Amino acid sequence: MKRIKEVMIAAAFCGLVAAAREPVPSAAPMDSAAEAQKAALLQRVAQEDAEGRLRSRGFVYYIVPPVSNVMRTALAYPQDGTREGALQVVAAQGEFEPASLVLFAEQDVESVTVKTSDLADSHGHTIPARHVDAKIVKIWVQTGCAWYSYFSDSAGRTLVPELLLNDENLVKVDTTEMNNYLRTEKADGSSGYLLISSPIDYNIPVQGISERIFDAKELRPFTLKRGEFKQLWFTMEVPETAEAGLYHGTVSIIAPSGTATVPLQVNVLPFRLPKPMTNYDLSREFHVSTYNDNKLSKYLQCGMSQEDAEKRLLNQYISYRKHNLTAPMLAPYANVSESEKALCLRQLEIYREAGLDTDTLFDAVRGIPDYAYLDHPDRSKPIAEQNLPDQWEELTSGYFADIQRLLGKKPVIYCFGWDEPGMRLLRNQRAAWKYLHENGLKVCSTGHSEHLLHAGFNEDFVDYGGTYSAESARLWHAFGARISSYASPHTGPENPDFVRRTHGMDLYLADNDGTINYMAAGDQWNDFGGANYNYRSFNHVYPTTDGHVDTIEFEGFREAIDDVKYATLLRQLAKKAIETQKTDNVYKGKAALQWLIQVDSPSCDLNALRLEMIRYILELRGLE
Amino acid sequence: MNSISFIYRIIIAVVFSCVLGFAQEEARPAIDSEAIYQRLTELFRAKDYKEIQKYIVELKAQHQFAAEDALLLSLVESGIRAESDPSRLEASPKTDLAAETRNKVHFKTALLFMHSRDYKIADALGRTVPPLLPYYIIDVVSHSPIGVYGWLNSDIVKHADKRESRFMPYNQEAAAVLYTDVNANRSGMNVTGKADACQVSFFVSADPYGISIYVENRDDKVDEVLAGLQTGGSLEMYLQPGFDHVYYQWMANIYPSGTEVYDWSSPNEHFRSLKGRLTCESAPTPDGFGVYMFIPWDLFYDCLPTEESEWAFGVLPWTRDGGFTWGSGQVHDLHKFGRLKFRGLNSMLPNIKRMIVLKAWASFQKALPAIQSFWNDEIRGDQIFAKEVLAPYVETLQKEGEKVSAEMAAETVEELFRTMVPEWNEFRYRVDTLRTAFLKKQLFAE
Repeated sequence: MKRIKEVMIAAAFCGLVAAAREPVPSAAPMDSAAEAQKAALLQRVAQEDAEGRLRSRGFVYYIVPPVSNVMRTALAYPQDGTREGALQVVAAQGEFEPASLVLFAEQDVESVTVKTSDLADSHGHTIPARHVDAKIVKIWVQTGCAWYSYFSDSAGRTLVPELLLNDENLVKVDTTEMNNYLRTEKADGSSGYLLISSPIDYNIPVQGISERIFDAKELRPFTLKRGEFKQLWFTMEVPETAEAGLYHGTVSIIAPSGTATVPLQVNVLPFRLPKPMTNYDLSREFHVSTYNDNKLSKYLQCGMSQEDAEKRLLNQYISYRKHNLTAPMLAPYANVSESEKALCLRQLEIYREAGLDTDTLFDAVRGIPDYAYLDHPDRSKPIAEQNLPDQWEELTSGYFADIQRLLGKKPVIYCFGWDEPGMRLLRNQRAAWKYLHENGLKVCSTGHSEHLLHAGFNEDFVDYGGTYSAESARLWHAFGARISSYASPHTGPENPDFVRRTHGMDLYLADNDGTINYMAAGDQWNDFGGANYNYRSFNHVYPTTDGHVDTIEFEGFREAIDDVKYATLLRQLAKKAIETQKTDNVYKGKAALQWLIQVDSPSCDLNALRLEMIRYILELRGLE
Repeated sequence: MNSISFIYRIIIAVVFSCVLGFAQEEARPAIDSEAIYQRLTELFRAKDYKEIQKYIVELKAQHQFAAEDALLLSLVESGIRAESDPSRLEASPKTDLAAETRNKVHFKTALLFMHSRDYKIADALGRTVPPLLPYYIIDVVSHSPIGVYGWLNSDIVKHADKRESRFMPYNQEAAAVLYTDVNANRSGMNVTGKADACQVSFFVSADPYGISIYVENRDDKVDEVLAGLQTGGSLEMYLQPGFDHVYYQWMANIYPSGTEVYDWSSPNEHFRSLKGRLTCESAPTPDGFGVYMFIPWDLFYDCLPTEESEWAFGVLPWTRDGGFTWGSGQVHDLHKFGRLKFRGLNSMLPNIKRMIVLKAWASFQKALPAIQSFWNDEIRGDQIFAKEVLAPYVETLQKEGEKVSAEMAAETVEELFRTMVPEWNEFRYRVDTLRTAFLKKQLFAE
């Protein structure tokens, strides 16, 4: 159950409340209510525990669906859980797939560790234990709208599961005052905790980009608290070379009071997942991009060495690839200088080194003329009579040539125009964009239906804000443009099912060409930025000095794109089946497509949907 | 004469003292606030409290201050003396400064203590008394009025105590950045306009069928709005059935009628969308426009209120003259919106549950044929699943449905509400859960 305390700090700090200002004592802790809940949970769990494990081992566990709408807080009984069951994973070769359990202790337990065994099938094939990653799901304090929304409701404070940590002490949570503290290190090696749940104007000196923040490299011993649940998150990385079949292993949860040996079963499917392609055209890619703040230049500006900055960026990019975020927006060359160009190209090299998609690049080349140019009266002249922005050629076509030299090929590059332009600014980009098109580049713009009155013909990709629909997609596709969505919702909501649906199947079945949301990684650890601004921190991940901390919503994002990959494979196989012209095969193929198009993507059970897709795929693969 | 002379001497002495005093004041140079604050910031970063105290003593001896600076120094001294224990903070000194200015000084002082990571002092210095939230007491009755004209002619609107019109102007700084919210459609609304008074008032009622909201918007340009020459404005609405639950947001046009619903979760077993469930109607009235909204109880069947419940309720009218809010909340500021409470709920609860049971049974029956047809289909479905898993489950649900009638006994209502309503309402999700387990069993069979 969520614990919420109304702390009216934010409003006061921003001068919104002209009330008498006297120091106000903190609200009383909700210990009595929490204690009553714990007692009720202890009684309930003990009643279910016929084997007496709670007493003999000191804790019990429940297997739970990792990606779901259920907010698993410390006092939330897992209604959807299986007591003392097995962790089960169904995954394709090369796929990452999550599993989860919650632990419940009768008394406080110190120093719990997790040990995973190798997995083996009945034919002697093995998957090493290192392919199973374990993390603690950290519950921390976020704003009142947390879990659901990217808006702030900054006067509310609520406990929400979000971070996936190796060391649960990276963040300390004061549940009485409802504050978060982040462990940071100074260059001299000393460390301390920073308050990271204060209003935005208090964010001094909390800057995730410049503070030295490190999570442990692997899961550290953790504690269990009496009468509370703690969630563990496992990510199975199935090797691309793994043989299909049923593998068995164990996950041991080792406490001083006893050990639980949790069976781990993995069904490795006999196929790899393809690149995600669109629903409306199997030859068109479903692009997976996002805004982000991962900039080599920024890391250097905040004092990191070149080596550390590059390592940080590389780790972040590798994590993106592993989460299916294969084409994050890059850092375009924006100000003419050899050093900046070198940094931009170096960033692109690191991007390539991380295995990200170099066939299609987003925001790798500048598409935004500066404001003075856009605002100039000459912009109302016919295009042919207009000059180009200063240094436009060098920043765009010149840099494009550098990129081609670096990559050894000619990628498709979408240059991003003025963000959320008014219609005047949109029109005033015409001459600059025409130059881009004449030089083999493409244009992407944040947009909405009004663009169809002022542009459209010169926008190759439009990123709709706050909404998406098959009807909008149909309009843009009719003249060859592509469409995606952002802010529907923005990043921020922790609910992994919501994130999975809105970046995956719902968008896919609305015939979108991908997802380009705002944004994967800002630099804020503080959620309490909302006052006049009224937004939460936009994050799928949180920055550390050597990479970032993953979250359950970013896991939801990975599953979103995996859903699209499964749907793509289903469609590819259905097409093949139909092409055999054997009536039974044609029926099977058409039935699969018919089922897919009738999926109620805004509200269906996505876990059931995944398994059903797998069933269709296995059936279609078996056709002759 | 002597007394006059005495008084005269006193006046002379006072004037002399004042002149001397002024001269002394003039002798103490003023220091600008920026310089003080900059120096204090440096010292707080170093957490050198002794040096800060010394600096303040020197400042006081050598300079004169503006009232704001004097308050800031006083708060700093108090904060340091408290030694990280907020309970030892002294009361804020009395000052003639405006409340808003005092708030800013507190804010700046708290910021200094953030620099020294003295968080508890910073937190305490930054707190203020929260504004009182407005409450609306909903009477739960047997029949609420229906539609704009039903409400217009009802007794409820004649009662001043049922009329809620305590709106505040929307925070102007916040309104100026509302354009960054690409989700909600406020186009055409004058969100940054500054009206003198809000012309909107509202009423809320509940009955066994649901919650009814009626909004009156006084408007002197009815004909222009009807013709489409002027915008009628809109109402941005929020409702959260307890802070543990997903909140609802929707936009209702004042005129012409129209709504947009914004979901902050995907529909699932624990959340039902307002889309398709919200009734909204608007119409011209003698004084402007009326907007009627109705939300059925089945949306909240798993989180029905009690008489102790407080539901956050946001009403943000965007009118031609500007924006307003009930409570002090900006968009999505659930904790600053007003609250709804329910009076007379207990006596009406059995009737509310009866309607929910009837609707849940109907919902199940409506969903059943398509699901049965699909799974029983030789080509499209899975007849083993249909026979071995689905059929026994459906049989149970149908059997319990035999107890349903409009005349059910109260005990039956209570039993079905508790045991069967979740099954009937969430039938499709229950089938998905069964299907997931069925497929997993196959996938993990040796």
